[in-house]
Amino acid sequence: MTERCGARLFGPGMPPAGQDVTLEWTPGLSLALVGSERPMNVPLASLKLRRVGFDARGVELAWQDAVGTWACQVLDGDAAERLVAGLPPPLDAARDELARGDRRARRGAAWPFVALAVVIGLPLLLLVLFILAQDRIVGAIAARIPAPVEAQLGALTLAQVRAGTRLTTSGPQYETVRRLARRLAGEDAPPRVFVAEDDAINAFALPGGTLVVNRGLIAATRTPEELAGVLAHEIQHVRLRHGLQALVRAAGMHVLWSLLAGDVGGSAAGEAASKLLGLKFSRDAEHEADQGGFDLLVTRGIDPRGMVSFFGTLARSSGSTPPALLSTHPPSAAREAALALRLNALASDCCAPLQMGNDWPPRP
Amino acid sequence: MAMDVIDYAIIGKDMQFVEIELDPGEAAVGEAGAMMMMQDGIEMDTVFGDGSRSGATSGLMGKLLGAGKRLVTGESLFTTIYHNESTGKRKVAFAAPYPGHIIPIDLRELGGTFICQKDSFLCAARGVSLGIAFQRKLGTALFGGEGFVMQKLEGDGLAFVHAGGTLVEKILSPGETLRVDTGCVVGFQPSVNFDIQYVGKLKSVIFGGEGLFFATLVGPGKVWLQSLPISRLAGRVLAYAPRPGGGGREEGSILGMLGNVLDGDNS
Repeated sequence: MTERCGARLFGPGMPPAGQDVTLEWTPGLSLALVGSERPMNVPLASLKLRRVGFDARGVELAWQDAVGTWACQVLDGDAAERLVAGLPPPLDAARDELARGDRRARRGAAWPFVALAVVIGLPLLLLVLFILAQDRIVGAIAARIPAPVEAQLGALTLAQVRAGTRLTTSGPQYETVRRLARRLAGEDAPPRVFVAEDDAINAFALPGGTLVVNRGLIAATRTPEELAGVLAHEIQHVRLRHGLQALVRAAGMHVLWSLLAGDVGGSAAGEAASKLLGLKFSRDAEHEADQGGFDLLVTRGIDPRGMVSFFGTLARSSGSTPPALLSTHPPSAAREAALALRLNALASDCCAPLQMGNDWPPRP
Repeated sequence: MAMDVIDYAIIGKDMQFVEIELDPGEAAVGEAGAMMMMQDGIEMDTVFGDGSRSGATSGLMGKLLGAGKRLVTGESLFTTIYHNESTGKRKVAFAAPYPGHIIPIDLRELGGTFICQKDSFLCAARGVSLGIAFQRKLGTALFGGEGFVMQKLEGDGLAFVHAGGTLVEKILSPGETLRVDTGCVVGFQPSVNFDIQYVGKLKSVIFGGEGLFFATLVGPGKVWLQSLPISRLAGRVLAYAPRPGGGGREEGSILGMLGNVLDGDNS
């Protein structure tokens, strides 16, 4: 049974781009070149096999004779397969060599993809790990950051706040906030406080222990206890270093994301610091601050009912436009419910009312 | 489908155009936007795909596939067929899009297939089909200067290919190797092996300015080389271009848009 396929012959005296010929073979027995203008013998013993073609599926038979080097190529992959399978016995060694070359090529083709997968996959893996174990990782890193660094970050953030809002350190409102903060935090480590000239119902704590309370929030409180509740909550944020943790979390995300997506600017940490204002504390952090704030109020002899009732104020005011404080916090009603249980356990005469003068809320 | 045999003249020195003479009933396909002029009596017909198959034989899927291939190779979705509906010989001309040379490729002489850099196709006799040749060797694709996708012209008529700078045809005898700067390969016969070779000397890599790799072309067969890839020309022009403002951020990543989202407040 004779098989044949089209091939292209290159060699001395042939057209530079080769010429169409036909290869004719009987599997395992003979191989001959037909259709060329000159009759040619293929010297089986000295034949060299090589993979050719753009997709490397073709095969080339090359040999030398007195005239020069000849090459006969079968570029069609299927025809090349048939030809290689049917080569006569003198070419067994060459066929094995070809198969070894194919295996090598397959292996060689695989490792760049493995490398590519590692380059893309490793940062992705790190990112996923970071997200999964972020509380533990962030906590561990935040615990290692010394207090002076935290204070510096706080100063940096304060500068950002000042750029957007006017902060005052005088007037009855400021004095009230300062007195309450001192009473809550203790005389030995009084926090820095500012009153921001902003009508939004908001208050926030900066790393290092600076508290900023908006005019809008002070105006929205009905009793000194309500304001004290808010301050106690913010002081807990400072004590538990929530701001620092959020910063570490954002910086970690940023670095890992840069690793994944390229564009490692090197300024990741700096950018994250500047974004601290927009950061949210996690719901866990808010819950922690609520509980800690409640404890702090009780310890200082301030009625925590004010803290709880202020959540009601927040929930009501959120009916129209949500105050800024709400947008980053869990729903007020849920937080109120969580603390209401603890209120029931509280003795009704636990705390004396705060004496803050007659007109509440204080004027600017 | 039988190819149309067309007569042509390549006119100009460095910014050339090719003028094709069509007998009555003959047709040529041109890359969209390449037509420079045509005589009265030549009708234009824009078809989806490469126009190599007649509409009846290939279904919608075939057409979509052909169009997809054209998108991948950087050609436009449509090709325009210029057919001579008059009773005499008429001419149509196609111009090169940037300084360089146009070369005629006789696909019959090459055995029916020619592999060339993408975007280099200019025009051809009707019946030449445009396909993609996907580079399977990762190293060659990354460092060979031609990328993963090359263009495959099939048929047995004439095709015209355009590339930057001066074009030269080289004939490689069996086993003969030509080392070429990456990016300078325009096209080759499929019998030629296109690969890369590490320059080998660290000193040359750092100070030689030739990059890490050569492209190697191993015969037998014909290859075409260009002296000035358009990307290199563009790079030089850009280097000398005045820059308003000076600064600006680098656009690094493929996920640039997402990166901006993560940057937070950009307003």
